[in-house]
Amino acid sequence: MEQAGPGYEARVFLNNPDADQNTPRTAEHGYAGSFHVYGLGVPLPEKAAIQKSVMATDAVRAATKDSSHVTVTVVPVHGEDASDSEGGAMSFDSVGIVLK
Amino acid sequence: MANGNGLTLRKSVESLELSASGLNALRDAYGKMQALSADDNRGWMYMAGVHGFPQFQCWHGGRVGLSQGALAYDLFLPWHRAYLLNFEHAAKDQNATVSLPWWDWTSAGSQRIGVPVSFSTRKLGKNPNPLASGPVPEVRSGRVPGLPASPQRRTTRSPGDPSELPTADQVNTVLALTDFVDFSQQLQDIHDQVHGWTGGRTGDMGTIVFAGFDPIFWAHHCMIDRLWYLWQLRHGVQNVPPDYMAKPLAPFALTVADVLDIHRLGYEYAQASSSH
Repeated sequence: MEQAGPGYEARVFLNNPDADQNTPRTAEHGYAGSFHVYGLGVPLPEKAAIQKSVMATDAVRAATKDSSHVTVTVVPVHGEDASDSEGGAMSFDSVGIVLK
Repeated sequence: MANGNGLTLRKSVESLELSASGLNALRDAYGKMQALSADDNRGWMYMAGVHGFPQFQCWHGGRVGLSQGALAYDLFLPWHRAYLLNFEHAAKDQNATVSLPWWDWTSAGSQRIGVPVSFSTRKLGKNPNPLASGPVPEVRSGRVPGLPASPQRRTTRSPGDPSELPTADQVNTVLALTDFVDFSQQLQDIHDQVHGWTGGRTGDMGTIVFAGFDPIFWAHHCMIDRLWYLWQLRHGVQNVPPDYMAKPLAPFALTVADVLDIHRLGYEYAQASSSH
């Protein structure tokens, strides 16, 4: 993930591929939770690996109620203003739903 | 500040603000540490530089400092416990009565005003408040690739809306997790959230490189360490994966096993009136 700059929030939505930084963080819009990236403040030669997890039991239950297929959309949000967002901050080796 | 058992008693910032002597001791210790030069290992800039610029020895997300690859284990909680202890000892060298306070960002006061008044008031009389900002050493070009040269300065913050701070419900959910790795990951994310909230887009708390120079860093990490202690009370003091035990917490001469029991380290957390 991009960590060169200041920290930022990443919002996770289920079954809402059009979600963006202005999408309400509600169950109706598939909001599952957020994770946060603590910025390094100094550039690295390439994006560094980091593992993040979000506890989203209720959101996963709702998303799998009618189908076993779930889309996961992660929206990076930078700064205090939710409209102040940047693309390309993240690329994922894998995204999974873990049941415990 | 010690309790009857000779242990250093760490209190909340809010309780410290009710006690002139405790707050004055903290200001005194931090002010004296901040007056020392960057190469004095008792001083503010040296201690902060262990975490970020120029030493980068901190643990976050399974990585040490600026290293590229994530490891299969994460010493975030034990490393920062050792780091806080070392810092507290350095503070006691300046004022023997001092103890590190924790900033409870879930409290009603924090959810209303954000950073506590004692840490946000810019000046005490005509002098800078040593709890509001700290000195950052001059960054010379080329010492860290990609880090621009900058003159010596003091830290700044750009905090967000207090209602966006983590809540007691969030913390209680994390405290209920039974597996140490799950707990550590989720608590670390809350920690990341508060760093980003306090620093914003331009403040020092938002970046690993300069966060340790901001005085609120230590109160924030004291809260994190306290939450780990509360989790240990519920789920077991020795509750870490067995292969963690012997792992060293460089640059401190301690292993993970050495830092599990805070009483053995010589400190204790006061009872709090909050919901956790």
